[in-house]
Amino acid sequence: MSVLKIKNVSYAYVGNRENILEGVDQKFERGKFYAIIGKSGAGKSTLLSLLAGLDEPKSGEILFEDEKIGKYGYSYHRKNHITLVFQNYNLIDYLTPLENIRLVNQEATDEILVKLGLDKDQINRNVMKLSGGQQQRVAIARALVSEAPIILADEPTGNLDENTAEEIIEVLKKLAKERNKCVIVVTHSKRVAESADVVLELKGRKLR
Amino acid sequence: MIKNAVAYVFRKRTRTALIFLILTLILAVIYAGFSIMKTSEKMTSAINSANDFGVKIRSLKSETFNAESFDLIDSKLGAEKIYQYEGVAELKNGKVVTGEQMVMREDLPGYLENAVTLQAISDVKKDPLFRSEVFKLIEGKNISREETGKVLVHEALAKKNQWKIGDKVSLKVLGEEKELELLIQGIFTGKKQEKYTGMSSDFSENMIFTDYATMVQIFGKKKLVTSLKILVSDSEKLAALKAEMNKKSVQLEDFEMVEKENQFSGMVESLDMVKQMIFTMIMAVIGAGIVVLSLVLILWVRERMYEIGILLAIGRSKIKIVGQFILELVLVSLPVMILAAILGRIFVGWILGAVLQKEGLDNLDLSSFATSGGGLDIFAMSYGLLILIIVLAVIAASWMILTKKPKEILAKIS
Repeated sequence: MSVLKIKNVSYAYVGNRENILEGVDQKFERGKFYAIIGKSGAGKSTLLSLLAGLDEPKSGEILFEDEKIGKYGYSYHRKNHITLVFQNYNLIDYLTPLENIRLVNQEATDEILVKLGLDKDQINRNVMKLSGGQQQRVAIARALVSEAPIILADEPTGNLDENTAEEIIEVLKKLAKERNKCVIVVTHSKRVAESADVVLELKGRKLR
Repeated sequence: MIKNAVAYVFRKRTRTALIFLILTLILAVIYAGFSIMKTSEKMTSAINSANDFGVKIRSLKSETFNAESFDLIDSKLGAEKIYQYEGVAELKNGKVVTGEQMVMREDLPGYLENAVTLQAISDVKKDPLFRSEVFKLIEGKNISREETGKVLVHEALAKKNQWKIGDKVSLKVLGEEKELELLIQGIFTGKKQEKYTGMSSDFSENMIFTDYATMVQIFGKKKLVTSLKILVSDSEKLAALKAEMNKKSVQLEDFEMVEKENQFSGMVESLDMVKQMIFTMIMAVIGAGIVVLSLVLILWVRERMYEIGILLAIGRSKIKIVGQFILELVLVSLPVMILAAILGRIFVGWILGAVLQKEGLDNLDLSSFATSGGGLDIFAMSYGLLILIIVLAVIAASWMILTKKPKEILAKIS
């Protein structure tokens, strides 16, 4: 059974007559790692925003377990159904790594951060004092401690070196397989696309 | 939400310090304003309560008159007669309080250089200066209607002569041979509006109150008074009293009759003006507070757009985000209360002093009002208003951002 379904979705930017997405249909299942590729400006990040409930489609609908994602409000969808990982990490600058991951789960412990390679000192340091790779690990940890069944990642390895990027991809793959999550990654990276179970290309306003 | 708010307040210290200063100023001024308004209301009420229904009678022909002419006015109306003699007396066993005079006189005979004002009243407690609390007893007790040979002296005069309760004061009323030796029963404080004639008796500190019966010792059987008040309980009885006075064979044309004495009307008007000014000031501070705080918060919220985007992305509702911003300011406002309470009291002193001086009431003793500030209720009300300002300012500052879609915010931050 699909956890997330896109049904005939079209979208145009405000002030634009022309749609950037046109009649997009797609189903996403738990336990799979999806990669969405496409040229710059093809609408990959826009599609991810629609899946996250950060924006609304012009027409069509997006369903979570056969219910419209906006049924209980988009905040509810973002809080309970999905977790987001961004290219620029999106961590709150006055909090520590542990406090950042607790934003999505009050019960989270530092165990997950230790597993992802942060030491005790780094865990209690201001998050802005960590390197880019360490910050992305914290962002991944935030996704890991979330109970949400869907992980949406927008270029999660875009700012990382090759080795760190490799590690992050492995973590995301594990999340799909071992914790039965649906991982959807928007990427330009060939390496990420090769690791995915399903590769979807956004081309000519359609997802294929 | 609470943990994040606490973390923000303690970790973004420069911003917290700036907000702390702004909130302190706003709360201190509001608190001072409300305190002054309440104080002036109290004073107006005290002054108004000193007014009576009745008539105050003075002679048009001489300083004093024989009040026996009014004995015919009987007490069927429940009228109460207050005999009052105000005269100058030479202080024989002490020195008067000196001060800066507005009128300089070189023709004063020696005995008038140590003069006091002697107020003899058949019921001292009914004197408007005591009823309006311009003068307040700080030691001993007031003189009751039955007592005789007692005086109330000003604390400054008592201090200068090292007098205490039970000590005796010797006075010689001007134009009379007999010297009075009176027992100090109470010491009062305060300052009235003074009229300057160039004599030491002009000063509030050199006023001595005594019972009217004591004056009878000097005047003999004559009821010699400078004024006579015939008081009734309400305005209807006042009309009946006037009718009765017209019927009796009193030569009313020889007397000046003042109805419902209101010697403090000027003061009340001035206080009303003060209240109006302070009210305008409070409104201006509230308006300016919202504007300044909103402007600071607009910059502050813009800086936090990144954080807002993240919180929206992880499913935090806009209400909770605004709630956290408000909570942060409320947390800062807690220590603000202490400093604002202290500053507010200082402002009360400054503002009251400056405004009253401008209004020509600076010789009125307001020390007890000026230093007391408002009560807890006033402070709670001021704090409540500060919280309202915080809520409005945060909503105003967040409005632009919170009306945007989460995607627009995230697009901006990326």
